[in-house]
Amino acid sequence: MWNFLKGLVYPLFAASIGLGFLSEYTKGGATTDFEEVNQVPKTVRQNPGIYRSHYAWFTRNFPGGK
Amino acid sequence: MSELSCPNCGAPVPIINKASVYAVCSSCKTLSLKKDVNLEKIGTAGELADDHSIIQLGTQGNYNGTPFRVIGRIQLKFELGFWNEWHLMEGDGSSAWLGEAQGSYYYTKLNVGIPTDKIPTLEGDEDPIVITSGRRERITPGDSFYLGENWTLKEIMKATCIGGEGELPIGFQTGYEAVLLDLASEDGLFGTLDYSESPALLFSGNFSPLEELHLTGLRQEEVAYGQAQIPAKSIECKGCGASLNQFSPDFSKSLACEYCGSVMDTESDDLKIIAKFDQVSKDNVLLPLGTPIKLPNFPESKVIGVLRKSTEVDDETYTWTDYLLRYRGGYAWLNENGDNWTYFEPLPGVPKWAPGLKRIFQKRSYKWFANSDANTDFALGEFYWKVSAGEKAQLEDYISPPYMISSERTDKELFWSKGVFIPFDTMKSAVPLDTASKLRKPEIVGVCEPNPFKIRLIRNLWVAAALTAVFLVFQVYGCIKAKNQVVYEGKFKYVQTSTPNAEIGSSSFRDNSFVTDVFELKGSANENVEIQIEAPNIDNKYIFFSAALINEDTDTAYDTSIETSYYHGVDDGESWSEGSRSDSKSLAEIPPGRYYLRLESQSDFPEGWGSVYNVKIIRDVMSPAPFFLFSIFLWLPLIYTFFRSYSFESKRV
Repeated sequence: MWNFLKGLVYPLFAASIGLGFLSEYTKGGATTDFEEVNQVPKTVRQNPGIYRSHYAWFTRNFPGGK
Repeated sequence: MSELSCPNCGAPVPIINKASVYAVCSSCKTLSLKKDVNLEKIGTAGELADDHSIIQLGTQGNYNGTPFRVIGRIQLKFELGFWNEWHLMEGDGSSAWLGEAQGSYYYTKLNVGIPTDKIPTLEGDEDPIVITSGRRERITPGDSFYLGENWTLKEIMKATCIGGEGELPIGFQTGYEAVLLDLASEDGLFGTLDYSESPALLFSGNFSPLEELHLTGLRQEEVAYGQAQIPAKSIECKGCGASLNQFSPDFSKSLACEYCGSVMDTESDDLKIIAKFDQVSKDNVLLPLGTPIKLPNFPESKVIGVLRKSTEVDDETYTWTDYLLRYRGGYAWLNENGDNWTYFEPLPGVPKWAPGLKRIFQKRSYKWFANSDANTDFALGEFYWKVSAGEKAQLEDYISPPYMISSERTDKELFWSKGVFIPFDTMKSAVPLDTASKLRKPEIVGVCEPNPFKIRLIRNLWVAAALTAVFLVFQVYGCIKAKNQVVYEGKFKYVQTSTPNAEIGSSSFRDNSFVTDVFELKGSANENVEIQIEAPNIDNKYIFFSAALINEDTDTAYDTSIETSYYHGVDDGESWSEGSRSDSKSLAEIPPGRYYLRLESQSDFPEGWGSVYNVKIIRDVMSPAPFFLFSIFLWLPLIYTFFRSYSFESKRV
């Protein structure tokens, strides 16, 4: 019984991977993580600085290659 | 049927087959040669030994659709005991032979298709030298040669004729000796080169299980096909006087005393001792003599003999036990090695060689496992040959779990058998409760124990391959279906206005955010949008973009980040590069509508310096990333299963 259950682990894992792929596939195959923010100020077009993207805080501080 | 008179005693001698040339009078055993309508005495046939054969003159049968009737017999004696060659008359009057030895049956016919000059000649009968195609070679079991078929020599034996009965197509002399070479082909054919005549006669045919002969008119109907066996016989050991049971008197040729190790010839009435084992121990004999065995898919049998064998590898001695099982119409072996059990049956034919040290038998490929020299340490019970102390044999094992094939080679014989692994629980339920309670659960991996990880690995490989194929189909279809519609393109220039590397929003950061023109995203709500940014001239610098795709009508923003960075150089004379001058992000399920992009950037350019970059927004793009990403996830666990499987294989003993 235990061996039988152990044998099911991978098929179940594969099934979850398959479902994950299908889920992404129906979204057009996009895997990017992004934030959806509602009620952005209407003035952004006139004053782009009024809105600061959530990703603005993930700033890059690259000291140079290698 | 004609009836002639015996030239010696005048008794009627029936001749069933017109083609019969010789006949033996059942009254006075006179061997006569048939001449027209008379018989001419040419000798006397000896008294036949009672070998407990169930076949007799008049027995009828049907082999592969060919009806036959037993009309004669020649009885021979060889090292292992008696052996009968029953002369058969087939439905069309032609001759065939049914060899009967050690519970095995061989249906053969004289092969007249081989030119006589191709038949090997023989010199000497103790250590025969075969002369074929002008070459003289000492032959040993396992040698192969071509005679219409590729034959492998299985056994060299010297037989002595005891006598005969009935009518025969060939003459014989009681007491004559002949060397016989038993052959087997890779296709399972059986052959005998009979050197009682010159040139030798080749008989070829098939091994035939008793039930496939459909015999009727047997001598002892009560022992045939599902009826009672010949009852056990009580024997007094000639060595120590102990009372011993002979469970299968119709089959066994020797009996090894379980108390003193004396081996007696059960074919001789005086039970003379033919060998003696120095030490006999019943320790670790897990199946006592007489234990009934009821394994699923195999005939019910009884343990009649036990052999303890050993081999030395790298100064270490490995021992195992072979239990001889007897069932009606045949025999088998149960091998116990490290508490693992394997059921072996004799194998007709010789498995074919295949590249890579493999053998093929019945379309299954077996991988070479081990070669060893086996020594018989002691024996208990009865055996179908005359067991001797110190018997040595070379073993060769090939495995294809749960099956294995093994060859056992001595100077005189090559014996192949096929084994199947018996799981511990199955073995426990196959024996009586008191015996089962003494069986131990194996702690080591059996030689042909199925590898659960390999089974799982193969199944998982199929699952992974099938799903990858499905992913690929979806991916290709998605790529074909994708619109890849460019909805916005713009060229911009980044100029550093803050201190380099100043964090966006910090006091030293000067706001450089801007928005693009409005563009329209069409299509359905589950289509994606890809934002691509390329800075073609960036060199040992980065530009980080904080991006927001904003719906002008609903004021909903989809925030993400994009980075272009490209660095290169030479370290210790080795050139390197990393990063990319372009990057893209794909945003899933963006509803249709009017959108604009807001970008805010940060870089390590010095103040007043910068780079141009291009922005492209594409609607409904099929990215290859999910396919590769999900496929990698799918295959990763297989690495673990592979290593577990490999580890299991390396533990086989």
